[in-house]
Amino acid sequence: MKKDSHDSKSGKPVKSRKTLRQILCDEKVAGYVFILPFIIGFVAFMALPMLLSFGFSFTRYNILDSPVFIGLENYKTMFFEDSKFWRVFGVTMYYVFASVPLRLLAALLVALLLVRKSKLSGFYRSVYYLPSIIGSSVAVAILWKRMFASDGVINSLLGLLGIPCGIAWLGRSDTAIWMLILLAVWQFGSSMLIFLSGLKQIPVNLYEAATIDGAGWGMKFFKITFPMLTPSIFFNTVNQLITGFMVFTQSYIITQGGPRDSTRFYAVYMYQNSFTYNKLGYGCAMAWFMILVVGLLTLILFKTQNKWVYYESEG
Amino acid sequence: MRYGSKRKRQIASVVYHAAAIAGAVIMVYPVVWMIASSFKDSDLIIRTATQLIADVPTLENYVVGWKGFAGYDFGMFFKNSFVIAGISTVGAVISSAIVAFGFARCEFRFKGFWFACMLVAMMLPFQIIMIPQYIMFNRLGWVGSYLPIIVPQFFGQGFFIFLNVQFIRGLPRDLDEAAKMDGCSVYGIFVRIVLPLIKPSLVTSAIFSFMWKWDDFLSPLLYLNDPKTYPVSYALKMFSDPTVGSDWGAMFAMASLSLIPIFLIFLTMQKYLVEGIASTGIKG
Amino acid sequence: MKKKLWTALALTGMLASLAACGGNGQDGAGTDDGADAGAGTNTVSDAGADSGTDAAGAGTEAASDAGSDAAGDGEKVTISFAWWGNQTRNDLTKQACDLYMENNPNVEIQVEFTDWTGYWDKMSAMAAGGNLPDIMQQDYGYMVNYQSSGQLANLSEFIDSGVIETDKINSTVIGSSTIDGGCYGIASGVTALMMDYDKEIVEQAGVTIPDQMTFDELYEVSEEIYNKTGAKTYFDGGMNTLIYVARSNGKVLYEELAAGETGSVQEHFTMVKKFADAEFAISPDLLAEKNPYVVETKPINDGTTWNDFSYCNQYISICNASGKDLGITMYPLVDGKDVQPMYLQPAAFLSIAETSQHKEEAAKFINWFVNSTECNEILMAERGMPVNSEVSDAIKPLAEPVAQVVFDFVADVGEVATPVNPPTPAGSAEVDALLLSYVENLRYGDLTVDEATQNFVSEAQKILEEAAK
Repeated sequence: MKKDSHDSKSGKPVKSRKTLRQILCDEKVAGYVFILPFIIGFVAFMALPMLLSFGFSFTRYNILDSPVFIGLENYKTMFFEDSKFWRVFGVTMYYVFASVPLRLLAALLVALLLVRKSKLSGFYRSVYYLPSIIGSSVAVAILWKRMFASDGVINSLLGLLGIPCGIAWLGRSDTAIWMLILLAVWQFGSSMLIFLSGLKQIPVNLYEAATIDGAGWGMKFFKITFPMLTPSIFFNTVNQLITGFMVFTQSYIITQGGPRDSTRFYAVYMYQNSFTYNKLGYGCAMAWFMILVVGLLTLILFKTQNKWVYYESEG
Repeated sequence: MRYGSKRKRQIASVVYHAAAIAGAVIMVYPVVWMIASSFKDSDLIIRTATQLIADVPTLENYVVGWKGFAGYDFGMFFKNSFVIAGISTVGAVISSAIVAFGFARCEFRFKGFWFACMLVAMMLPFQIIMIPQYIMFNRLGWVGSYLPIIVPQFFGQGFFIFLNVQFIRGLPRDLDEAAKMDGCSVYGIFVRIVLPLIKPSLVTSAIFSFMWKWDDFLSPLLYLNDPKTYPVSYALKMFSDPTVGSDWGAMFAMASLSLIPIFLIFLTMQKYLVEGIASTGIKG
Repeated sequence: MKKKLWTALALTGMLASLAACGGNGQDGAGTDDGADAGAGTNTVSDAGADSGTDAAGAGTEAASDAGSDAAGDGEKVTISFAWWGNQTRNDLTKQACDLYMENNPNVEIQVEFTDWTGYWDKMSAMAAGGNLPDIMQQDYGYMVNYQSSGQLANLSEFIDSGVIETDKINSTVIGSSTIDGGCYGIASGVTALMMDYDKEIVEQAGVTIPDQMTFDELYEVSEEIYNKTGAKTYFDGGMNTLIYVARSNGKVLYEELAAGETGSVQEHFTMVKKFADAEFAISPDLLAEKNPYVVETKPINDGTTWNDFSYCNQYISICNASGKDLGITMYPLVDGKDVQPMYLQPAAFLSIAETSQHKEEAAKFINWFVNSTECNEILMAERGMPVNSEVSDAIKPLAEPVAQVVFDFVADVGEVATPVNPPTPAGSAEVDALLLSYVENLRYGDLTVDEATQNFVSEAQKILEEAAK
């Protein structure tokens, strides 16, 4: 398939004149040579499972028996009958739109602070990255539960500050989700790292030139740093959006979706349907609806990127 | 130059460090809590959670935890983790950089289509494709080995491809043009010009790839059968069992140990983040 | 639109043939069929590498498993055995397997273990791939799903032929894993519902807890304890209690739900509400924070409550986690009913996969696992009290004092117990989750008992109907 596309396009008219080396050096051909590993991997390992999961979404499939085709039944149930579905969807949207901007903001601020060269910056970078290293293990779940317990560290700290407080932060349906958002913000390390490497890519001479022109700190930030950083910001936004919708472990191991479904995220409900309730067909339908939503949001981001993302190579 | 500017800004520097350290304490407290808890008696971890240091510190958890399960100790699990994470990382970083260059610097037919495929693959929750993928790898006869975990890493990973694409697009194109004038082919440009310049994103990819593969327990869960081949991430899950009871002390101890390799990787790698274009100072 | 439908149809056909376990359909999947020789292959592939590490001493012959079941003449048979569990279970079970291999040099047992959640994910995948382990640990709540889709071997023939001896096993235990006349698993231990309580608090309050009280008595005792000590009371509104209440009406809950009957649910919800509204009740916030379904975070551990509901095989873990001296009593009786709802609940079953190439060897192992004293001296009732009465008597003196309590408790329950319900039907996991969310709503006062009852029963009925399709 790959061969056809470039043979017919670039190969035919020039066949006799170009050597193999020349053909390979043609940008149109070279592009395929470079992305060939991805195409092979995608076709071999992803395409089939992806198509299958799409197919499953039109079936009743409990994994143990063969799937039974039921048309759009799953989608109908999802949109019109499952009262939990929209609740779960709303909770997830809330989480994504609260945690992604906050997390990015924290990551950006810290990255700006840490890009400064000092003897300790390596140390700081490591320390600020540490929470992201411990990831979403069971240990983090226990830790978070204990910190925000009614008799936990946070409440004792508040007590020391003269605000006696016995709130079960993770036990109340109005506060629990914010504890998970806080956890996401606390683990801003990966975005920070990307911002840091983005900052490092900005040519130093731009700043030097600006200094000579007498630009102040603010001027430098808005005229150089921010525009040059937009590719990283764009990347982080898209990526956090995608991973935000897939948030699973935090809810699954810390709150188990409770209290009163206030932290039952889309991916958790999808997983429960697929494996705990043995309705993989329904789970797949949920997955593809999520892909549609995330895909649309991503598309919007991509469509707007030429308005605000600055690429050195294109600018 | 560095010393001169430092003296000038001594006060600013003090403020800066004070703020940074204050932030660091908040960031690091939970991690310290976890490590400190691993020296407590297992049943005291929850009951004395607000107290950081144990009254009677014990190494018991490390001893019990290290011996692992059914005669397979954590030495073995660590070794397996290094094999999986190490090989995967090499594969993911190299292949993703190659693919990224294609997407970022070449114009070809259906580029948008393939890029969209990559993004959709990133959006696909693993839980949904794991059954079909299992069936597929089972047919290939790969189940029970590391192949289903490692091999796909050698064909580019969406996240890293996308990351590298963003970086390459941030590189000025006149470098390519100059190289082209010197008779350098596209491939030459990739190897000689682009690759050295995207070191920060390669390093970032490597850190992430290692960490994620180190932490990943879902694919080992699915594809590995023999306990001898289990990695640390997977073994850690086995300290807790809701139907009978968990040994959180041992889990904390081994979880703390399992942080060390990733942290060391980060420490050694993050140095390379410092030198990017900034220090090489091109486009001048 | 039409085109899409066609693609969907074509896909369904394709995936149906792929997903059908062990199917031979070589479709356009692009995968080669070299490794598709059946269930035995993937365990065999690493058998050779494994033989070096095991101290079994006997097996020096090269593992060459051709897939035939004739286990004579030193031909080595490899059986895979998977379970979920914690460190203790993993260690003990492996030791038992090693002993079995020592006794039976022709058998190689490949163990596979994981945590509870991961276990079921993995078994789903393995079932879909048609390569379930020869012996799988099975759970009451999952058994029907696996049985009804033909994943499990009928063990009746091995029971009839005497490969698995059942004469020392209580017949209700075998009955519990009997579906449509066939037996699909042998319980490796039994457990029973218990209420455990903090002896110190109870003594402080000056009350005595009988072997089995009624729920009304529990209410009164709770009030007294709260007034004297301030310790709160937990009431388990989950599925165990609901099933239990139905049993006190002489009914099987899932049959009631399938028929849309509200009787037992209404009674149960009334009790939940009554215990939630009481002054002595632990607040729903705290309950959500602590999660009484996880041993380590039970509210009894830190003295928030004086009582807790659980299965008695968790007694030792709860004692350890709480660091307290705990009393143990049966679930309370439902007032005004003369049926004893207590029952012996089989803990983990051992089942054989229908795809297994070595069913007979696997059955022999299960027989040894359940009926031999030497094996259970190693396992020490870790999966619940041994089902074989002789074995149980033999190992009891060896158990630690805290475990003796459990032995005695199970013996006491055994004397009054009525037969256990049949395994729960497909869809039960979803009904479980549904119940928990309604109970939570009741506790917070979002719904009245009547509303909750109506909604829960009609939704549960629908779920069970869907799942039975």
